[in-house]
Amino acid sequence: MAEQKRVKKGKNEEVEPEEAKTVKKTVEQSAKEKERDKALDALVDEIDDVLEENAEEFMKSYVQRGGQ
Amino acid sequence: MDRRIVGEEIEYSKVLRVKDSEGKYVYREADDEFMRQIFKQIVEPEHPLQHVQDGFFMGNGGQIRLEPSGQHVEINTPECLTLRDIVAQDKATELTALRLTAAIKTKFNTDVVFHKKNSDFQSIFSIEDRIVLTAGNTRGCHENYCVESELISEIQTAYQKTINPSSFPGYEQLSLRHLLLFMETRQILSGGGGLKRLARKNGQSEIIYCVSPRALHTHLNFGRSTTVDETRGIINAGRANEALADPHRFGRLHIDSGDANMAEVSTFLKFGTTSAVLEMIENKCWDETLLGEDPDYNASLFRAISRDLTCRSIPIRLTNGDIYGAIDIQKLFAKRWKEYVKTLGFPEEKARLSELWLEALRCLETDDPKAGRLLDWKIKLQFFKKYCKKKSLPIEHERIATLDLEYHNPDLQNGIYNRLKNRGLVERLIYDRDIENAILIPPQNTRARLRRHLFDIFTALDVKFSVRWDFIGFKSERFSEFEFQSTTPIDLLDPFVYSVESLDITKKEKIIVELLETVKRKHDETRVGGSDHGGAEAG
Repeated sequence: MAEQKRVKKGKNEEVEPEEAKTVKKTVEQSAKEKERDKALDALVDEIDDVLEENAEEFMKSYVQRGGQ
Repeated sequence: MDRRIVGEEIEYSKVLRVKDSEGKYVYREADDEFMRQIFKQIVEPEHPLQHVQDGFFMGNGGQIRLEPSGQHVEINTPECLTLRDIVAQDKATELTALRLTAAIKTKFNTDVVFHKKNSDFQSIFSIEDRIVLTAGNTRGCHENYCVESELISEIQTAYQKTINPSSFPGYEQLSLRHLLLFMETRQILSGGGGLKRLARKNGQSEIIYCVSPRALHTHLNFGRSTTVDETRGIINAGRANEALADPHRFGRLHIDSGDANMAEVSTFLKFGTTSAVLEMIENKCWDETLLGEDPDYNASLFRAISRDLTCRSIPIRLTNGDIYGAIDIQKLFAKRWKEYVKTLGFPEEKARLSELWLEALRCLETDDPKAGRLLDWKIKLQFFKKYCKKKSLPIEHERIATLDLEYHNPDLQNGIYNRLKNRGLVERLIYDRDIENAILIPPQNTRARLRRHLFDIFTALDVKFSVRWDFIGFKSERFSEFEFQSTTPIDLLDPFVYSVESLDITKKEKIIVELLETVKRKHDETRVGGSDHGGAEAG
């Protein structure tokens, strides 16, 4: 869509809005990345509560036979 | 072949959690007798559609069985024709496992967790028992691709060379070398990721995070054994006589060197890219410069690439002398596919595959954090790194091995993959409702639909029958008025045939099925209220 619009506009008009758009997009993306990082942080904080109460024992006991 | 039927067989591990006399939780592998009881008391009554050999077919046309070599629960998807369907059906196996966990809790008041992880951190073999490096135990996550039967003959010949090199001096099937080059690098997209304790003969051990844990259990290009590391191949050559379809028209390419995936994108790319390369080989549109220099070196490279988290440090030398890393090799395959898809006019799903393939490779190449939302091994690694940093633990810590396992716990709230998913930290390709539908409804464009249709007829008519992937047999006196025998098999030899209408007009199967439908209609009409309860509610 953006490509099509750009063709219709004059040459001088085209450059700036596109650049501005890219900057805006980058800012949005890094904001999103930060948000995701926060969410990951929060998950790390809560994860110990949901692991087995004796996680080391759980792992030691996790011995399965092989299959196919 | 331009359209390809695919399917997947996944062996789930089984952890039993019980309280000891002091009230502390202890864990062990659920034993064989208990697993047999689970199948006898829970699975069998819920699934009237017993396979003639073993296991039970489900309402979606897939199968659940107790896998004899380790008494693991094996859940098989039905035949799928689209990548969207295989992704949904792959995820649906997790719901099937969860339902079983819930039923066991109700029936036996016992906790059993089935993990969708086919490679273990720990090894039960004592080090002395093994000649080579051991990397824990492993189970199967096998992929099946319907291919032209010619490819299977070529694999057989190549396998003969593996076991007896002198019998085929100089034999080289170039398209297979091309396929092996693809397979050894595919793991950077489809690897399940995970910690492995590598035990050595001298008693020392080393803990690593690898791209594909299953790759470390693979030692040949082509192998027949699915259970022994030393003779397991990147491509399995042991299913040549098990096409599960008309062997003159179809072959079944069996791949048992892949990981079980949680991420939808990894599953999509696993089946998508492999189907793409097969299609280019079959249509003779493959890039003939993409050949590994030493065909006997593939399995070593396969394992080495699994240990290279940069995906570019292991040099792969081609016959023309060029040297590339795994990302570059995959880029060459992906670019070829893009050109090929262009010649087809960009059909929707194939074009989508092309985009996603290149995008995933771009993320790996540029260290874009997006890779940590697309691909299992990167999602997991990103999470572990975060965890280790916050808790000041090394990644080799046993606690990380626990997180690794729990990533594969299908529990919708507590499994770590699902926790990441619920917070929007992994990219999705399908909706939850697609997965919920997939445990009840077969793909609508493959043999699985026809199989379900016949289930429904037989169940409504209360006819005893037996099922195989490519066959349904039934036994009933009530058909004696018709010309066919009371024990007539209905062959379903074409996995692409999904409806009675599309069965071959001259085939007896079509006649039988139409007669059955007539009988069922009469049956329905004579029933009080004429209601149709829909037959097999076997999902």
